Amino acid sequence: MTSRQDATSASTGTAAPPESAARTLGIPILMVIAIGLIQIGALVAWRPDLPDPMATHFSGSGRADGFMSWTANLVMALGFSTVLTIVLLVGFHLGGGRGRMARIGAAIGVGTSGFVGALMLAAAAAQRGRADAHDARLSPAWIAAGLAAGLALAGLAYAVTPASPWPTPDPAETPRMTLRPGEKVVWSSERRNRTLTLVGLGLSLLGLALLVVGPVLNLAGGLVLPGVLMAVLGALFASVGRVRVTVDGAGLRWRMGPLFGRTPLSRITSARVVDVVPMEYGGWGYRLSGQGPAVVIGAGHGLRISRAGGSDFTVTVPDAETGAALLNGLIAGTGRGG
Amino acid sequence: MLIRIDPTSSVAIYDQLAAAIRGGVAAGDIRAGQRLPPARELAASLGINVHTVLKAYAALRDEGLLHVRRGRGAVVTDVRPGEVELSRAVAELLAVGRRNGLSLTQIHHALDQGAES
Repeated sequence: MTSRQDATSASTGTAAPPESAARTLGIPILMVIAIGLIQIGALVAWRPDLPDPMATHFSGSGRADGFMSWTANLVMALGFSTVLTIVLLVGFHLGGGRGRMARIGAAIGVGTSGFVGALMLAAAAAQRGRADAHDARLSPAWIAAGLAAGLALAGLAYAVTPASPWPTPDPAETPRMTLRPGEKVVWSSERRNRTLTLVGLGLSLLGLALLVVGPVLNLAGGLVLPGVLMAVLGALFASVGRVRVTVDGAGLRWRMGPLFGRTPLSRITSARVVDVVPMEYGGWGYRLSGQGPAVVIGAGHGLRISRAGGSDFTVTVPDAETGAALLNGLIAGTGRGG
Repeated sequence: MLIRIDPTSSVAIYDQLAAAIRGGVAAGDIRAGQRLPPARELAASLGINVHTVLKAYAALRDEGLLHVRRGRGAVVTDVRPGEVELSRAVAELLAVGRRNGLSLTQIHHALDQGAES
């Protein structure tokens, strides 16, 4: 009962310093607004030269094939490249994009906005001075130019957006075991997800069956690629069906099928229990998420460690409370962490 | 599964290790079908000799608590700690009764007396 409460409060952590969080969200939003202002500025300045309705869509050969009034064009451009992007940026921020993920989110938002904005500008520029938008031409090469502009802006956004800081857990939320001097301790926990294993094995068998059935039915080569793909995918699924985590004086290590990793005790600053919902991590297996990398086998309690100069790491295991308490006890034993 | 070993204790390390695993099974932290860490890994984690770990695993296997198979490691059986020892003691007690012509009621009575004293 109490551990459940601890876990829920620990999952929120302590909020990041507000001024830093504001910069992480504010800088990409300002960039997106600037891109929007450039579009408005160009459309307004060029209005006397522009046909109305304007061409807003071009075929592969560069011929105009979609049209919209000047006002609708303005609203659509701002809606897509500015308002929608800002909504996505805020959503990503509230969703807990932390560390480098926050910068990647900013880069994707600003880059998309820049790409859409550059194409809009190119299309508008191509029809300046034309009385009828049907005569307008826009080379498909402009898509490459727009992409380049988007990538450049994405790189800029990544460079100037500060990484959102990892939340510092409240000491009250980090359980700690008291260890006697010289005591040798190890904690080991294993979690299995039979569904993942069975689905994986089933998929592998189906893939192998396809490989056998193909030649029998004389479907030369037709089923080889799907068969191999299914067999490999199935094996991957099955391999993430079990994880073992060990905590000892050396730190934390985990193993899941062919994947494994370790964090030395000297790099771990604290450990706590969090509630894990796989969908918040993008599914099962080894995940790169807004909460840092995570090994997710199923829903429920997860052991999360904060790492010096790096992201948090989370792994779903039973009895995570004991693992966290032992890690915090070991850290205290080295004279760090009070 | 948490294992704490106190090197300053007078209890042998393999005994402490076996007791910790028994306790884990009794408390439900270690469930039937669960695999224990490989002996070499556990020895490295605790900074003890691998033979000490193997000795503890062997003792638990003899109690019926573990299946130890080469290559598969040590797997926890569905036997509860104490179950094997108890059934052995019961068999012995019944044999004593038969040898001395005691009825079950007399054995029950002797058990009750033993518990009270």
